[in-house]
Amino acid sequence: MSQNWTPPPPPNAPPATIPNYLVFSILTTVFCCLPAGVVSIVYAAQVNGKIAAGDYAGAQAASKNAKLWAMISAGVGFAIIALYIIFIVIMGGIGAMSNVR
Amino acid sequence: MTEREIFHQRLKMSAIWGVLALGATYLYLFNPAAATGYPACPFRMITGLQCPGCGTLRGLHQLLHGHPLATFKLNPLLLVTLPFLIFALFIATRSAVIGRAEKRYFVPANFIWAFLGLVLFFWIFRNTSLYPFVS
Repeated sequence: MSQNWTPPPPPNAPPATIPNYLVFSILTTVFCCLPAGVVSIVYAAQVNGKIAAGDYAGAQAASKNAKLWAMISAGVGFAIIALYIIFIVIMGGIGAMSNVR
Repeated sequence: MTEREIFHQRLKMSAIWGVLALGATYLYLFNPAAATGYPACPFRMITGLQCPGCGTLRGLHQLLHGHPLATFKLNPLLLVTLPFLIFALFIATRSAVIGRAEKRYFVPANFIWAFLGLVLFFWIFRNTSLYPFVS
């Protein structure tokens, strides 16, 4: 008897990879920028907790948030540093001009 | 992995290693504790408090010069996380070299929660007068 029918994957098969962005969140918390990275660590933990519990939709959502918060931490951090550098340069310029008289 | 994915992975890892090499050279030559030419921590600039990442650049400078004890005093969290990050870098680099997808390790959620607790504890503790190191 030939069987040319392949069984469909079980409905709750784990998606191959749901990234938790743990490395990214640690980098933004300990190595850089803004401590908003800790929010990202919270979501990274949720991703793996939900995968273990079989809640793949929830894990997917937490994964998105983990990425979002790591990017916020990095983005806002770099923005503040950039503004600070611009501020220093402008103040330096004003200082130099006021010395000329 | 498709040809394209392998190419992307190799490009990405080349860029990361390039940035690491340049950054490490700069960090080795110029001490962030003494020199200008480094950005200040935005959180410390605004609040005056230290965040979990304060002291990382100064700590890495000390580590590059072979003074892990000084690194620990500047930011103990750095030494805790560094092995994990080096391991992640190793896996990603290996994937680029051999052209296979990154081997994935599942970190149990409890480990991440424990790490979060450690970060929060350290964040508060280093801002109290009980904290033994000045950084």
